[in-house]
Amino acid sequence: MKSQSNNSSLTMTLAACGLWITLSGCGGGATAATTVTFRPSRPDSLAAETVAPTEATADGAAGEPTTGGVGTLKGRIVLGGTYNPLPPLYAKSAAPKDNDVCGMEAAPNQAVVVNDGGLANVFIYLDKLPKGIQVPAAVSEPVVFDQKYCIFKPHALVMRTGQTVKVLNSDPVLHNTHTKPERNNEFNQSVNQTGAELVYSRPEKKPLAVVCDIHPWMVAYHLPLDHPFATVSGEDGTFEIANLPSGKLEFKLWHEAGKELEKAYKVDIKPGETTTVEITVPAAKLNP
Amino acid sequence: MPASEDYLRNIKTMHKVFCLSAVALLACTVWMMWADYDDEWRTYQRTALKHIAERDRSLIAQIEADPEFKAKLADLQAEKKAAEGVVESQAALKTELETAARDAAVKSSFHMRTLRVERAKRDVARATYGLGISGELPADQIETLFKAYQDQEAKVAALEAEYMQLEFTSSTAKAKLNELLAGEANVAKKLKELESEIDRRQAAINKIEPTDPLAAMKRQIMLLPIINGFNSPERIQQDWMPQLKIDLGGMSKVDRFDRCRTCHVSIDAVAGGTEPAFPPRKNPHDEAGYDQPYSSHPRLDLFLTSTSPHPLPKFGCTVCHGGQGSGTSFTNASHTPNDPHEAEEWSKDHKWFDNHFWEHPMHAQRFEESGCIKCHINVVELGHHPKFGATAPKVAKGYDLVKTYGCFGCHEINGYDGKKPIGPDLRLEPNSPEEMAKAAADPLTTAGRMRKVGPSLKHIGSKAPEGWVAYWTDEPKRFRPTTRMPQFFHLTNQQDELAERFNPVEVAAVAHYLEQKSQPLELLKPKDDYQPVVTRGLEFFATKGCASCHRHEGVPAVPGEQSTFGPELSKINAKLLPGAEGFEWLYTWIRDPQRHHPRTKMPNLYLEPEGKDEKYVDPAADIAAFLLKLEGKPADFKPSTNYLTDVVDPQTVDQLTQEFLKKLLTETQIATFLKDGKFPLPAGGIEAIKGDEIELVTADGTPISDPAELLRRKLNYVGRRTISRYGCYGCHEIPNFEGGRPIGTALQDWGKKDRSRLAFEFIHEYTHHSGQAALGVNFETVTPAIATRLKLEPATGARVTEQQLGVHAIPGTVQQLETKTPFELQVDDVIVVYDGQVVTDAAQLQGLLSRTEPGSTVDVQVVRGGEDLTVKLQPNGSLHDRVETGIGMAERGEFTDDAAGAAEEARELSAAFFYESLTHHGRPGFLWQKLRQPRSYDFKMTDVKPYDDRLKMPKFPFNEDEIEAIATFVLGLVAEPPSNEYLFNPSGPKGDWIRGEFLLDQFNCASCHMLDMPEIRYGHDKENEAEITSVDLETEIPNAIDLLKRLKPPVKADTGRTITFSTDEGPKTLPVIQFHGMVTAGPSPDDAPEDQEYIIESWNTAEIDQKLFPPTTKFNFLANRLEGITPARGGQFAEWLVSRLTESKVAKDKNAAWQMSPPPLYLEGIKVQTPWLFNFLQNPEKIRHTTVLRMPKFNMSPDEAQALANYFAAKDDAAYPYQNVPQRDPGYLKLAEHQFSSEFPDKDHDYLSESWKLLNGPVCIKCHFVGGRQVVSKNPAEDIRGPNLDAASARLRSDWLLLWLYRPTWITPYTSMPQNFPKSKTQFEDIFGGNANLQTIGMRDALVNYHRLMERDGRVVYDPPVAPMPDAAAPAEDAAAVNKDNSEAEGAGQ
Repeated sequence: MKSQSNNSSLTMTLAACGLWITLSGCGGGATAATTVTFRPSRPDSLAAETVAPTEATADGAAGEPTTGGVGTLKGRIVLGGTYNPLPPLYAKSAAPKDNDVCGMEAAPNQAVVVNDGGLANVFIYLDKLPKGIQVPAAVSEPVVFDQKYCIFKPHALVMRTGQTVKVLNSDPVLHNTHTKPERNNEFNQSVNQTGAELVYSRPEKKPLAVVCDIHPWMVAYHLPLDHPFATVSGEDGTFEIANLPSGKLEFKLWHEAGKELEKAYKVDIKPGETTTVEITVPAAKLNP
Repeated sequence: MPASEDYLRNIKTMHKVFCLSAVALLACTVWMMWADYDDEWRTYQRTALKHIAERDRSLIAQIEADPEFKAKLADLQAEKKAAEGVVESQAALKTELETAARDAAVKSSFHMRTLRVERAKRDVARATYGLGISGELPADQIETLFKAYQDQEAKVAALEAEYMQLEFTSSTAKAKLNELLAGEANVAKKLKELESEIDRRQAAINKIEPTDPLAAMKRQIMLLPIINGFNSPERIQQDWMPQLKIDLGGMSKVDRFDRCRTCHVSIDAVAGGTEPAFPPRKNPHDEAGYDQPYSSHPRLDLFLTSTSPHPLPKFGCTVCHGGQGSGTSFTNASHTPNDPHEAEEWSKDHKWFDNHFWEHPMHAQRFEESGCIKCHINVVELGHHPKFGATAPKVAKGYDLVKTYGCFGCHEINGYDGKKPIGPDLRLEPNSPEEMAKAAADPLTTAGRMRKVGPSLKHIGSKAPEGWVAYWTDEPKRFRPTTRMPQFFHLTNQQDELAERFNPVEVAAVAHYLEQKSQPLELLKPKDDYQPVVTRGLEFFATKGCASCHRHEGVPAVPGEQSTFGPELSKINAKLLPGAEGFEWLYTWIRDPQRHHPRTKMPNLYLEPEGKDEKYVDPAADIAAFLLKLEGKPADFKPSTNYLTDVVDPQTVDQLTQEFLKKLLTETQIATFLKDGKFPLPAGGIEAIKGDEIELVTADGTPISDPAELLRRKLNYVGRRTISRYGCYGCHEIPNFEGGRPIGTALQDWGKKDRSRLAFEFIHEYTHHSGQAALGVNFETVTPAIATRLKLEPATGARVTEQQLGVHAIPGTVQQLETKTPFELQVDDVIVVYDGQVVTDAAQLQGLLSRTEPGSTVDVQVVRGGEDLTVKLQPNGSLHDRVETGIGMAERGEFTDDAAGAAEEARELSAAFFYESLTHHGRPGFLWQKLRQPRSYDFKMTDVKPYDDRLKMPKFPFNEDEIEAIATFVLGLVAEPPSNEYLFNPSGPKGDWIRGEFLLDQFNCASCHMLDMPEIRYGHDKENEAEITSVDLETEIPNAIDLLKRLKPPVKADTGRTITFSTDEGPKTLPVIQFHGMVTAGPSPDDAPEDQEYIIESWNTAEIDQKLFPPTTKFNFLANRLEGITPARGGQFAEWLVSRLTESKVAKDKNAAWQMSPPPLYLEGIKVQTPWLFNFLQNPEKIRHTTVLRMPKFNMSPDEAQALANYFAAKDDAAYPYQNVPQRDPGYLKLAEHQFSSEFPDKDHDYLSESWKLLNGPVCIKCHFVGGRQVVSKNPAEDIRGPNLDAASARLRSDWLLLWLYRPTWITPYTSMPQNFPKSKTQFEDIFGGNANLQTIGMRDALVNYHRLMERDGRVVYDPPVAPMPDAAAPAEDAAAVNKDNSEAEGAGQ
């Protein structure tokens, strides 16, 4: 029946997405790998639904910044001070609404996620591009944003402007996906198993919240940018951004509980080298 | 020749005499003609015409300099040359064709001549034949005649044929020639078109300054005397308005003739659209612009032009401006200068003088809006108009002040003569419901509609202690500086010994009377053991809406004047009765205000207790506790101040009683009464006593023997008399004054009141020495040397050097705790602080003094002999001196050029204007001084009039700007309504709009609700596509877009203006667009200047370059491109609450906070059904579950509710009062059913059942109460819950509802309601085949037929099967259990 085919296409999409995330890493976030390497994507690397890559992305040279070579930034966000793990928003089978679905698992409080002292879900991105940087063309593959057991997956996500975000719903209940951007138009549609698509047309200055009004505890963060120099720290706080233009760069660090952690974190990227940093965030700065 | 018998006089002498007289007569005639010719207006007209010619010339030059024009002209000229070349190259052919054409034409015309003769001959033959017939000639003769005719006819026919041939040849030849010349002609035509504007302007110039010598001579001749009587280019321009009569002093009414345009030639000249052709000069230093009489009228969209509401031929000039329309000289026109400085200049330049003989002098510029209210009797549209904006803000402000301060309580402004409207109407409403019904039933009267502006004093005893009442009455501002209650005591006519003795007794007696007559009030109480929480009370005060009308020091103030609608409440804890009584009074007032005051404007906020057990909260008790700064139990409430009841001196009471009884009783009678308590009854007995004396009489008329009782009675009498005399009941409900009439002069025709009837008394003498803020001393800046001498540390302040000549130093009082000692400034006193401001030098102190409101009391800190004294002073200096200084400074140009200087100059010249008017016994001056210092007209009069006759007008806290606004309004009250055609008192939507605006103001609706969204104007960069994050309309259902265009018609965003701003690449110019929307983010100080941007979300549908931008489009642009933002009208409290809820994290974000706050009423008219709104306004049921406060119940009559409900529909051009819901009609449903069954033949239920099923599907129920089921929620505090859907069918208009379902954010951008059926998505395929459009329409149809379906189909649960969870054993069928039974869920969703 219908549900069967739905299921299989969903699995395919998920698998494809996983593959793509590993390749391009743009998806980032707590639930995904955090390496960012902007290699030309191969037309055959993805499932049918993706649009054929543009000429620019097919051309290898265009995938890398053209001036002065590129370098990699690697690092880890470390939480300074003591950390008490946050209790879940609700326990298993105790969801305030739609318990039969939402209560399948306890809902973790993702406002502060720390593993081995590393702080997850920190957005690390270039707020302003240095002058003269040619930005690689937009990625045409969609990024997947799912909802399962009434939790958004992933919790934190970076995407390019113009890139399609495939909003999925793996729950047998209705969700509505409601973005709260500052510079983009709001998106607010109810999403059932058919899913929906959303596209950000303008870059944002800071991550925006995505909520479900039906299940008020659900929240995730999106950051659409018009360049690829951004990522989200992983479960253990590690992150990596490759193919960064060399030179002195200023990164912005943003976290949902601490808001702007660093306005301009200065890093000197040398061509062909990997710069490793460790950034400590005092626990007092986080106010979930 | 000497005199003889034939001649009486010497004929020679006589010849000389005759000759001389002839010459003299001639000279006289010539002089007369010259004098007649040499009119003042000719000069103006000539100059104006010169300006017109100059302007035309410069426009021609402009056109000619335009590169585009130049290029086109060059092209056409080249084309012309080419065409001429073509013709030239075929010169031989041209000559040949021309010759042929000419020859043919000659031949044809020659032939025509012959033809005409022959035609005539034929006609003669025909006529002769006809005569033969009628003469009954013999047959043979007739035969001959007929033959003759036939011959001639044949001849003519042949010639005609020949002529046709010749004509054809001629036209063919001409056509051939034209063909050759066509190119040339075409270019010539294009050239003419291109230059048509230039030609038109040139023609206009030629009329004024002809270049052709012949025309110039002709014009000069036409201008000569005598000849100029015949269609001269310079002439008197006259407008005739037979409908707008002039009343010549009540003697006769004559037609109005205005000749103003004779000098103001270009007054209605437009440049294009309604832009003025000759814009007025913006300020005297500007080079651009024109002065009067050469400039065009301002706001030509509003005045003079034929498309404006006031076209010139219909209105003329003087009906609005005043003045003598028939006058053609500056003085005869009765111009009125705006200030004495201007008067001076006019008399120099125009020999101007004040013409007393014309009764309708022109309004001075400052009062030009006075004329508006002659026709605009409702006034509100002058202060705010949806199309024209604020057209007469000053007079509207005056009207608002009169309304707000309740002037009509004492001064009736009756806008009706019977039923006929004659002007603005401001009268108190009838005192009781019975009287109201009586007035409504009377066909000859129209009842007043204003409520008393003060609180009811009927139950004052259960509210405040008597001591407080006296303390307050004595000087209200002492208790509450922001109060609107005027000052009755301590004014200029109460500074003598008598008043100083009487006043305290009067005040105490008023308090005594009110206390004695206070009626008991049944108070509400919170639950017995309820312990109110102050902090929670603060939060409720802020969020439940109190802060929208009241301010309190504990809560940040809501900006805007709406939040001062109610009194400031910071000190309310010092006012109420101690203990539980005071607390309970406040609790009752908060919960049910009408209990204390049936006509209060304070609404019922539905502050009902909620919760159970530990969660039981009584918001009204908490708010009361917060306001009372309660510590402990309500019964422990202690007012922060104790007021002593003044002990009155019985002798003074007796003296006052005597004073008041003087006019009624003889001295002996009074003496007897004071001694024995025996009041002499009049003939009719006790019933005959109608006045306040009733207080002095016992019920049975027996004498009052108990001295204590007698004193109490006398005190009551004095109190009651005082209330009567001061007219307290004009603002307050007071026992025994239910039938009280306003005590002051009626104002409805005050604007034309005879000046001889104004009592100026000794005002000139008064103002010469007093009447202006100053201290009556001279002072100098403290230097270090002086500081050392006076042992002053640090060297600051102003030292008193001497007394001003002829001016008394102002006496003051030194505040030392409770005692007051008299004080007078002395030499060497140093003023260090004035009204809270540190005095640094003498000039600054002068400035502070000039800004002091006259008659106000100011705290001044003085150092005397090294000791600090805090002194209360009422600064008072010579008004005359101030005016002299002001005019002098203006004449010498001593005011600074900046805005502050201009404002100061305007203020000083304004004072000078009023002072001049006052000294010349003018109405404006009288009014001005009356409002500044109401009792000053009693100067020296107190010595010669009885105490009881002293002036009683209190002093209101108006500043001079406000006084001018009130004067503008009052001077416009002339009760001279024009003919009905001119009276603007519309019925229908316009009238409903006006009435609604009046009520919005009465109930302060605009504090909570945004009525107009902010308007944003900025330079839009078309090239930058990212600037507007538009919605892709391709993804929308076409029906939805059509509906959007119908309900929210696209507004053209282009303004036609441009803005220039600097960029890295130099200045750039962009077209300015405008639209309505909310600023979602503004420039942040943290950002670099080049990143400062605005992000604005539109609320209206905008059209830019024929492209449609639906609401919620976001506009992103850099801050330097902003032209301006017109702030929202109203909604300050909502915005304040949104920030508060966001900052305190009660709301997750701004959008969520908006959903918790009062909604903007943007396009409310197209949204709700008018009958529903009418009911809602009277009984506002709870609609939203997300808001932190509820729409309160206003103290509104059904009439008022109806008017307001109509207002919203009228404002948005929606149908009202009744709305059709076509989706309930059988016809509609039949058609829908037919379509449904043919499209889905397999269905075994009908269209509505299908729709009902969808409505009860797993969508709406997520947030709404629907179909008998309730939202299941364990956390109602966090859940977004929508309105119950059973109310939608009566509440919402069906089109609006459909658009809402299509795309909710197009209507309310901040809503949480998602778009449920987007075009791109197929869902619920078993319903309407998954067609999103049909599903949306079906949903709407189910909603409007909700109750019918609930009855017919009942409770339906539709839970379509869904895909099972990918990797969990979540049984899909369990989803059905999500929505629990209504009965089970009871309470959970509350």
